[in-house]
Amino acid sequence: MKADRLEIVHEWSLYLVVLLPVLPLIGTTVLPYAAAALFFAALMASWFTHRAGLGRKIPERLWNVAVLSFVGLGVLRVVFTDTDLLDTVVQLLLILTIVKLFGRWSVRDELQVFVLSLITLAAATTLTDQLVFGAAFSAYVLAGTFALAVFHLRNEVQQRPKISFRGIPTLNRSYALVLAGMSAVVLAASLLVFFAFPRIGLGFFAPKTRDALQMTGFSESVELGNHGVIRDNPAVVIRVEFDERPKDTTNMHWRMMSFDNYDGHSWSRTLNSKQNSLPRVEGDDSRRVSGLSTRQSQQSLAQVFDGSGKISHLQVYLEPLGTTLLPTLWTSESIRLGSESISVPFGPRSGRVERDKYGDIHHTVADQVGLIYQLWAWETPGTMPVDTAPDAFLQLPPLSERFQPFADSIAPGAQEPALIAEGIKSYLQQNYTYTTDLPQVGVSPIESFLFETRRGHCEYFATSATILLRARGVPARIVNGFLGGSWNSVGSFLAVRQGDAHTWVEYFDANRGWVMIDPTPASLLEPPNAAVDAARQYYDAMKLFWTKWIIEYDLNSQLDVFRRLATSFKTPGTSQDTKSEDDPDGQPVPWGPWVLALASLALAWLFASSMLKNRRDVRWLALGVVLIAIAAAATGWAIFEVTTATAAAASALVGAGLAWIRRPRVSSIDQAWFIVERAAKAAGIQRQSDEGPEHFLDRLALAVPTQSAAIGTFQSRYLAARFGANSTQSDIIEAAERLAKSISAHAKTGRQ
Amino acid sequence: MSEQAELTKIIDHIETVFRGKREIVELTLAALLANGHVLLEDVPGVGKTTLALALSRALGLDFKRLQFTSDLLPADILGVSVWLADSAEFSFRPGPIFSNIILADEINRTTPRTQSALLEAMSERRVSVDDTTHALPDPFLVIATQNPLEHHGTYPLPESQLDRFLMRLSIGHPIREVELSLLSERGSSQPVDQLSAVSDPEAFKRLQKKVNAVHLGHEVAAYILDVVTATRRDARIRMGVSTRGVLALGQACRAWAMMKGRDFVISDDARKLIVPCLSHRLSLSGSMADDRATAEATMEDLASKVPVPA
Repeated sequence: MKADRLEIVHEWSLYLVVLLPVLPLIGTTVLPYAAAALFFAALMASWFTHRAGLGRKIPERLWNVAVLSFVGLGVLRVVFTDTDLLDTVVQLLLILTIVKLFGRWSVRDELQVFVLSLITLAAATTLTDQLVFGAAFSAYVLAGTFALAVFHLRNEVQQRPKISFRGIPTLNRSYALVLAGMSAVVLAASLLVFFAFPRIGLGFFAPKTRDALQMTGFSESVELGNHGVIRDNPAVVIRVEFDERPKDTTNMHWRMMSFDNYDGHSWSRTLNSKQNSLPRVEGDDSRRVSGLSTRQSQQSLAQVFDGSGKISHLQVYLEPLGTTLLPTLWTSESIRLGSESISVPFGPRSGRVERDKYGDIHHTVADQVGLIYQLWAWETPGTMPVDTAPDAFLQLPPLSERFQPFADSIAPGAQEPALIAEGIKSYLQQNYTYTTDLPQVGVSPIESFLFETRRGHCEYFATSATILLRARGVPARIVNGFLGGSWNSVGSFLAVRQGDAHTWVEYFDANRGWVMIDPTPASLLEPPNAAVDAARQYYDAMKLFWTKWIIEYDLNSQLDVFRRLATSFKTPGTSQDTKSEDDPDGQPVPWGPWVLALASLALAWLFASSMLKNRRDVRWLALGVVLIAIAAAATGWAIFEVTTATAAAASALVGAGLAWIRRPRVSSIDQAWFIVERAAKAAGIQRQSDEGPEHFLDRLALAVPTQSAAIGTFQSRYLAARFGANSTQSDIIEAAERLAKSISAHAKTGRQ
Repeated sequence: MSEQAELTKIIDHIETVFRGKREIVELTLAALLANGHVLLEDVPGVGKTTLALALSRALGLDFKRLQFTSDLLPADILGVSVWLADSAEFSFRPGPIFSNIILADEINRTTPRTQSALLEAMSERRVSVDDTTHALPDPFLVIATQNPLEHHGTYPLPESQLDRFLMRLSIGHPIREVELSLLSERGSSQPVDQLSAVSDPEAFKRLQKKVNAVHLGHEVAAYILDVVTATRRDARIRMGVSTRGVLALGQACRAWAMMKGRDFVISDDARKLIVPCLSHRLSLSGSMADDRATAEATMEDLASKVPVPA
């Protein structure tokens, strides 16, 4: 076995692994060129001193002093000059690495060097994102794997020097090639994981993988005159979570898009839709409602809108629709999203939400993105002074002569827009039928609908109502959106599907602004297939769970969860979960005190077990357990009350008692040996499992030559006591302790 | 003088003519003290004869050398009855085996019949010729040698016969310094022929008896059995160490402990003697080569995995 060659390869790879994370840092503020030169000089020096075995000559205390002084210097620099904290930390890491390279004399030290290099690499990721870092990173993965393999091999060879049969791999070219190949495979695998694993972070959602839904239900244009049956597309578009389950969801109108110009066949938008035209509300900036990542308090809402009744808060999860429109809820009249825009303050999903002349809400984030936002809806809306509606909303298509008299004949004599609208609505609902099976229409679909076929779907109803209103002089427009939705009991949310697409009407009342009216009669819905629906509900609930807890699980959500957890820890049953409906009468079991009791029991047990296993003094063990009990009691008393405090303290004592009962029984001679072995381990001599005591103590005597006489005496005493015919073990433990003490004392002062 | 001092004197004396391999000398002496026979497996010319001769001269014992060839007959070793015409009876002429230390050179070169004659004498310490049993001298020790490289025209010893040897050792070439000094100092004379005796047969027999008095504690015995059980269970080994091997190891440990000046055996002794004492008792399974290096490596590997009581 070419042990020397292995040793050389190990040294080279160790130094390479140390060097690679440092390379990208040269020239940055962390490591200016002068400092880099110094670092390299130190590296070379440590190479040679280690070769010559000089590391042992320098006492460990000197290293500790050096390191501590560097730490102190670093702290001073950070506090008194404006050096960056991260820079100082990385410099300290490098200094620690140098120190460790100088003073390494055991396997553990070299492992620490590896760990330090890894931490330096991690720190370097935050300091530089240049291409050289990428190269250094890949090289580090390759070199690191190789170096660790060689390191392990060298340790094995050192521990088993006598093995010499054929078959053990010598570090020749083929072996080294295999190792290098393995490192390359590791690098490739890491790159794959790096790119394929979903990035979870502050809304770092990569929308490329999600296709926009096929908008076959909802359409951005409304064209009348289509044949055929509109299929009920079950793809879920919006998922809405409420604070409390609403009693009736069938009347919820989710408003998306409205149109102004009807040319007889289709609606279109002619106004420049991206202008903010709503008047500003006087007041201070606290009226800004940030609806996309923080939850503002409702005071700001009250300052903006003067509605009444309860404000329900809705959490909306929107699938990517391929459009930048944002559905809002228009119960009677939903909130108006303020005259200022709603903004997301930071992150790649930042954008603004704007309201255009149509009252539609657009967001400025990429249109392939699904969004999460919040809505607040008044029970009874307030009023808001608005300006007049543009004339575009009075535009009429070419119509036959019978249209205008017909329009006048509905709710005759009504002057108020509200009365006119109500009249038109009731007329349409009573005299026309809703069907999705569209009949053939003539040149003017609306007139066919109104005069001949008398049946159609919601687009016909809405268009007719709009045109009728316009004919009566009331500015009106149609609105595309969704109606209702189905409640998903699995996940407790409302799922609005594409098949729920609907069209209705808004008319303009000078006193009240735009008011919604829905002229379509309610259709009889088929009851859904129970089994299919249940499966669908589960699937959908899972999708919501995924979106909410994994994709969109950002820092705010985490903080929210922890806050709730802390509250429920302290006062059980008052958490903000809506689970109170499950258990309205029973007293929820307080889990806080139980957790505390179990934790203190476990902690005490672990502490006592480890102390007993390491054969420490029983007095220290008792002291430690008492301290744990006091700490547990103090925590219990601070958070809960006295009973919990006593229970926590008692469980700590119980834990310690359990550990005591199950303590390992050792004889006095075993104890004596254990003491000596422990002291020797601290001095750097570890007994191998197949090493006998005489050989081990000889090695120890070589390592601590000043104590060789004492070790020799102990050796003969111990061997006689252990293996001799009449083993007298009197005061062997004391002798062991004395020896252990002197060994540790001499090992600390110098490894000579 | 204590036993350790006596033995150290003997070893030092032997080392004056057989330099550089103190451990081999110690092991051989320990085997002899334990009343066991030694198998030396070595290339020719490393000093096997010198060692045997030095041992016998230092201990004051009789020495005979047997060169085994393929046409050697048992009678050539054990002795033959001759018809005496004048007394009209058969008279037994003892063969070269009637000596204290026998160097059985190239034991694998002779026929199995002759091999078994020697080995039977080794184990029983008596010779039966023509219905009469003649006891062999006491002490009676055989140092057999084998050349590991030569396989043509050899009759390798089967495991059951190998089991009769207490230890299998290999001297190997001397280290460079020793070889240099041998070159520069040696004249034509063989100093080993002129080695004086520092002990006598009675003293040696006394030492042998004292070996039995060395205490082998329960823990070391348990450790030995752990190792032996491991050999019996390992997949590489077809049949593990026998009880004869266990007892042999025990005796060797006792002898070694006495040589180190203790009256009890420690686990270090057992660990050290496992490979010399047990590796030739393994029969390796499968396709593994059946040579000394593999067997010793396997034994060492096994032993390194069994925890030693401290």
